[in-house]
Amino acid sequence: MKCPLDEKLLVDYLEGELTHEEAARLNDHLKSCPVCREEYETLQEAKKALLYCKEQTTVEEPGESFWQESSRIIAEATYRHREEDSPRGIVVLLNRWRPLILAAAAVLLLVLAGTLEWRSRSGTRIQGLQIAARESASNVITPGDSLFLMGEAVFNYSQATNTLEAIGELAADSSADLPPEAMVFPVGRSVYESLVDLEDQQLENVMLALASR
Amino acid sequence: MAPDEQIIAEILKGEKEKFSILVDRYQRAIFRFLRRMGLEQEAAQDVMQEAFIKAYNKLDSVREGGSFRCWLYAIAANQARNYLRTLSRQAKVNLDEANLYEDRDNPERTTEQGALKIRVERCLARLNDDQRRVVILRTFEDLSFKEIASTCGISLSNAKILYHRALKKMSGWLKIEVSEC
Repeated sequence: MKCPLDEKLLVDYLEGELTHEEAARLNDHLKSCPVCREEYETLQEAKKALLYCKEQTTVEEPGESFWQESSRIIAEATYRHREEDSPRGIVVLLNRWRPLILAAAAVLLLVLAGTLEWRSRSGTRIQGLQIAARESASNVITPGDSLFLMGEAVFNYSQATNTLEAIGELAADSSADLPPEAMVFPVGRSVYESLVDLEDQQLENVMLALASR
Repeated sequence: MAPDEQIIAEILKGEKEKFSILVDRYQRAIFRFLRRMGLEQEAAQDVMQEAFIKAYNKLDSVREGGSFRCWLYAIAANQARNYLRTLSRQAKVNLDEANLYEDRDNPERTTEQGALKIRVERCLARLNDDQRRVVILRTFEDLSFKEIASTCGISLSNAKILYHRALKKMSGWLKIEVSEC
């Protein structure tokens, strides 16, 4: 048998959110309704267990130095002027501008891939890549578009230690028969499957590696 | 202690460094919340910092009269969800269950109280994301249902229903576990 009592009232009663009069009325109802009484006792048991767990559980927190460092990192990434000479400052800046960096890097990689392709195959290919790069550049401000996804895939795939291999693979994966617009999606499925999250340091290394070429 | 609304107004007027007050005020709570949501310590640290950076960049979108604390929890919850989605299935299982199931050597198991705590944590991990978030915000973070509704972007009524169903499920699971012991 089901009681028509609103189940949310039992929650309010359990959490002490009813007025004195409402609580008294519900208490009377519980005395006369075994269905609601059993339901209430069920909730009460879980609540009691949770409160016990809360009392017994202390989340292991980092030491005081972590909170100070954390405050500093947040400050540098937000309201404080970035520290030009600080390696951490570079990481914070990179993270903040990550979408644009990824997009710009994707264009750069396209051009590099195009150069490799051009060197290894016919001279006509570079034209298609340049068109694709121009088309990609026009999409730079649209987060989540194919360029961003491609750039992210390239970045994730391009670990700091194998950036050049990744670029070479991109060039090798690209089919010479594809029309220029298809070059916006040059990343093969295997690349996506290989995605791993880049650490800050890796991101920084990749950027430095790209910048030095 | 200046209320959050006043500090936010001052930040938006140009006293940007006052954001540090909000960071100091909430970073420990957000960290604890993320840990209870299943993030490992290092991930919780990173996600917490990202949540504050995101909050700062969107500070002008805090609704007038809205709670900064709820808004911050909402950002942190979304960041945590995004983070967990990027993990592989196996990694997520590890986050949810590894410390809870693979604890045969845990000295806490040797006491009845320790065993109860582990059972409760295991039941929490079995709840779906929405239910777990509501239970954690209510029980461990002491948010009101109104604040939980605001944080999770759901109605007050829905927050209570999720809580009710979560508790009912947990109670059932706890009974089964006790009977199996």
